[in-house]
Amino acid sequence: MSEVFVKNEKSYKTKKIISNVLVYLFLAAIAITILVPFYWMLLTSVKDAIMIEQTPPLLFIKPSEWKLLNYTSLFDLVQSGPRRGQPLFPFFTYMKNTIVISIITTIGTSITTILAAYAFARLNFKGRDVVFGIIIATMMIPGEIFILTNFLTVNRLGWYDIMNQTYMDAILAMTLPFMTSVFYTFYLRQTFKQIPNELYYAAKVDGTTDFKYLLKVMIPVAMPTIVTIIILNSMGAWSAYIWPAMVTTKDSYRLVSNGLRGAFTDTSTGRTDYGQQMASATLVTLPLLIVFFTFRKQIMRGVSRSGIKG
Amino acid sequence: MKKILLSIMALMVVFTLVGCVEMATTTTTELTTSTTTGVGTTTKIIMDLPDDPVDISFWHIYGADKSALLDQLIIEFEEMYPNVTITSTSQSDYNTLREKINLGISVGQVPTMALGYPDHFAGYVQAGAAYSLNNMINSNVRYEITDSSSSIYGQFVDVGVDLSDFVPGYLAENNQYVGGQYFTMPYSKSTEMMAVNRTVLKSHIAAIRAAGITISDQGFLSHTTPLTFTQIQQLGAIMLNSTAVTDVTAKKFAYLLNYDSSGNMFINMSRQWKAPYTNSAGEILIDNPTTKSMLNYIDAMFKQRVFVLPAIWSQTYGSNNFKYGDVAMTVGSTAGVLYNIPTTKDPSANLKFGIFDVDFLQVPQTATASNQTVTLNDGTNNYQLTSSLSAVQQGPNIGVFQKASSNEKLFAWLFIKHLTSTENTVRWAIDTGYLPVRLSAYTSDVEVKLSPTVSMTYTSFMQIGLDFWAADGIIDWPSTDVRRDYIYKSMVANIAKNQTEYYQYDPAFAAGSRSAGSATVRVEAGFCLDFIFNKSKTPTQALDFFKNQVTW
Amino acid sequence: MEIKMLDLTKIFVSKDKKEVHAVDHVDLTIPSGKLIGLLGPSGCGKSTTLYLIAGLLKQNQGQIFFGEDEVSDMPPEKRGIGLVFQNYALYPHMTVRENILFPLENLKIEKTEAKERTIEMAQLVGLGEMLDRKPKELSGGQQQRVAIARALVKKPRVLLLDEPLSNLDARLRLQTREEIKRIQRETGITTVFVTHDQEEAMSISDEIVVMKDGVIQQMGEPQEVYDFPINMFVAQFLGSPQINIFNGEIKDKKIYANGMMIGKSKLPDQPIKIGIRPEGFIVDKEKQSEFKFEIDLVETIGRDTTLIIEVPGNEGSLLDKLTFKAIVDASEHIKAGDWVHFNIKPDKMHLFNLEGKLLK
Repeated sequence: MSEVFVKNEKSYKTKKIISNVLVYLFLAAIAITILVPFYWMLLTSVKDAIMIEQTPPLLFIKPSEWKLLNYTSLFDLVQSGPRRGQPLFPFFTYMKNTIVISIITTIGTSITTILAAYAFARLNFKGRDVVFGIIIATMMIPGEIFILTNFLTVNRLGWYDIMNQTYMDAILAMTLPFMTSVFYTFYLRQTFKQIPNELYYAAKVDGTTDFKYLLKVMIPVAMPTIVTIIILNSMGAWSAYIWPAMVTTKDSYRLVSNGLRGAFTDTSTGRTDYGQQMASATLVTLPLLIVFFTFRKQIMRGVSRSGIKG
Repeated sequence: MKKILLSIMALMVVFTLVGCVEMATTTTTELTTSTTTGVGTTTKIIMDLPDDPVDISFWHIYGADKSALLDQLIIEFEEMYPNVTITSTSQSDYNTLREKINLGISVGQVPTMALGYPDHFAGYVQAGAAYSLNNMINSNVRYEITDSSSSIYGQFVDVGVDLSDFVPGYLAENNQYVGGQYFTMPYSKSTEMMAVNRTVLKSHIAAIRAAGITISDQGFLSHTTPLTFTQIQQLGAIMLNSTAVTDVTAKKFAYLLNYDSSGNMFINMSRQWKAPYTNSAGEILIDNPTTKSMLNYIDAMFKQRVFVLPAIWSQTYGSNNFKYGDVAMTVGSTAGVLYNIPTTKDPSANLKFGIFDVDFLQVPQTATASNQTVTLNDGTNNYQLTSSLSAVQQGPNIGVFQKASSNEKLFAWLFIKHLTSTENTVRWAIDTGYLPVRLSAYTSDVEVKLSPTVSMTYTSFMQIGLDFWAADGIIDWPSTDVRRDYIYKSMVANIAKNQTEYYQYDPAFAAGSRSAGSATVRVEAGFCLDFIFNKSKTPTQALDFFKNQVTW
Repeated sequence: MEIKMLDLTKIFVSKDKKEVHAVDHVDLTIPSGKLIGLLGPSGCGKSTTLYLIAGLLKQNQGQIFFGEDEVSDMPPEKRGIGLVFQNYALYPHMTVRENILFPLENLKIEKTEAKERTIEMAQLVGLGEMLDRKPKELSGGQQQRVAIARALVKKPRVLLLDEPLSNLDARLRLQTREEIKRIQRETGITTVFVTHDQEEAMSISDEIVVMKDGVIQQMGEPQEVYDFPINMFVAQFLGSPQINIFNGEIKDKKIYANGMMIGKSKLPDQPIKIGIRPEGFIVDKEKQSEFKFEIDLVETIGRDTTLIIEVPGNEGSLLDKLTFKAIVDASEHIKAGDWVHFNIKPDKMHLFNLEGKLLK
């Protein structure tokens, strides 16, 4: 008996080791696939034009050989012409716009998503499930289709007047169509639905209004999900490309994503200055990284614990 | 709920748009106006220039580097016409620019004027949104500038323009639209040229002369007469190594001639072979025996390493491998001249021939003149064809939109005239590397600032390259001579000028009910050669595939 | 505060449009200051009744009075009730203190007073030390006590408990049961306690109300209802082990169970159901009684012996068996396979007609 037991123990241990090795290999492979592009961005940003085009490519550069020209030239000023003295690549303008847009859409999305999710999860009104079904069905329509309709809407609202679009118009045009999200509404509704009905009844008995209940109970309880939504949404706003390019009429209203795409391509040859592009990409990524590392705990908690126990 | 409404609206809009397109195609014929009035011969009608404030929006894609001069040109224009304000905006890239205008057409939000490729404007014309410039071009109105704050106070301004001063190849591209209308004027144009490794050519002088090709003692081939493909093959026999590796001691190359753009290669070779490709009506004509034999010939040349595509080095452009000595010659855009010059900054270990001399030639042709009966031979098969000189012309044009008011249209047109004036086209050309759109640029005596300290006329700029060639590359200019900085640019400008005589344009058309738009066809043409090059398809298969991709 | 329900009816419409009378013309008066157990199998309408009292559901018909005060159309927060749920329904993100304080935030109560009352309530339920813990750091019993404190903190007129012990394990259930009883006594609040567990209801309640299919079957003190069930359902629902039901008849003033004479009755001849509590069996050592069975299984726990008897059912097949249980003194020394004669304690025997109604 004891021998058999020992043998089992051994095979169990080997199995455990093998499975651990496999798990770690898998994780390492995934980590590499995620990190390599990132590393490549950083590496390219410290290469000069010749190093970038070198074959075989340089996989590592000593810190002493780093070229910081790509970074410094980002802040070069225009030498002549009417734009003299302005930055060649208006990094801070783009950054400011991006941050403003991210904050506005995230606040907007959070508000509409929370209210809609609450209505669909908690309130009983006629046709609720039908309406919800229809809204969910719109997720099947590809986003590109909405570009045209949103464009028409924004235009009708007078926010896309190419002769005199104000900064406020541009901000509204860029943010309004993204102040709702079917997917986030659905996601949050599911979380809200997991909150036991009794909590609501208890609050009702205590004279809590629906709105106060939402504010004081539902939102705090669903906070991990809401944090996830906020993160995903602000990341989305950060990398939004097509729409902001479509509805802004002035360069100074654009976002970093648009700037990154257009600024470093030589229009006559179609060649791109990858070094500068990667340098600015690094600068754009930096705030996200800082946010991630600062709020890593909250983010991880939000992502890993979106379910609630009753 | 909002999204549902919106999607219903989307459907409605799609239908309305379809309606618009149909209307546009039926009404454009109306736009055709009389083009009989010559300019300059008739008497001018003198009128007062409208002095109401006019706002003009101009969309382009130029980044900060190029828009510096553009901004300067705008300021000068605004000084000439103080009642006009031009807002120029970069839309960052051509796709965004086109998409925004296409979306804008549906809601009436288009700029007054915009930059665009011919196929973009073909789309705008189809949607009825582009404005025919013919009335402006042929106008016999002459305005007197009566505003004393204008920089040209008291002078006269003609609305019409003498088209004969424009490079004919560009004009042909710009009036290919319905009814021979000019919906655009040429603006930022470039062409292709061929860079060659003169140092290595020179070391093979004896063999090259033996083959009957004229070459100078310093390795210069003719800059006025293009090489023929037969001569290219002869150079291949001399300069190609027996394997696909460059032999530095024997001065033999792995590959002979690189084409950066396989799309341009397909299209331009079709012209040179007189092989039908497409026409302005949007018909796809590639299914013909000439195109087939052309593809067979190209296939044979690929296999013999006479032609090569940058894909072989996993590159988009061949300029690096040209510098590294992997290939003897390379065909690429005139705008990318300096990418082909090896310098001390290049990693010396990669430069197989060190820092060698580069010369620029016209792109190779089937024959040195058009309409000759030519026989090409790939070593086993003969290919009969009638020659036609052809070089690619590329780059955006500039046009005005129908939506603009008549005053806006007038001043937008005057702004186009301003941008394309002899002086300004020269400034633009030297500043950006694009080519002048006017013939008079080559004889203009306007001094242009090349750098904060250097100014010269375009003629003297052109003369630098001519002098260099005339001296057979042996120049005794002092090392401080500014001319040394402009040798390559000047050589390329000369090559481009020599090619202007046989520019042929790629007909532009939007996607139709039976076939793809010209931009897509160009992309697929490139893929066709890519497939042949990487041996994934035979020429016949590649052509069939191409045909299937662009017609339905 | 007395709670009075008059003709109270709640109809639910199911998805296939069928009407279900969850509460069916209920007339019920709950005396002031008492703890009432609302008892019945699941789906009997007891929770619905509770929610109607709470105002969380709206009745289709009938009236509810708290004392003189009609509350039929009053929203829940105006009725002055405290409600405790099976799953405690504590706010998971709030501490015990915040949970208890929460109901007071909606009433205009001074902050200092609110804080005092919170501490007072926490002490009442024995959680004075745990005010700053989160619910998940407490045991189930403690959580339930927080829920009770939260229900009581605003000094309601009525305390309603919906299956408050069902989520607790056996030991905690006993403890908490006592705790509820104690708190109710100390506060003297009229309390309605919903449960499906008859033992729980009987041990804690001043009076129990047995419900079935939305209709009140019987109300009374627990022992009284146990001893004098008004029908076979009540008899069967109360008591563990369950009452034994024999098919029988009355013939010539004699009562026969399974064809064996077990007693006498003045009732007219008729087929009947006979309910005999397990503790109603007395072993007849003289073997005089006609009422005898072969014992299939004997379980002795402590001083009681449970005799398990299986007899063929009405269908007559092998698997169709009726099981009866008799609890006798352990000193009887009975083994499986023995034939035992029984006498029946008359007060432990109830006669029902075939519809289940008690025959008097």
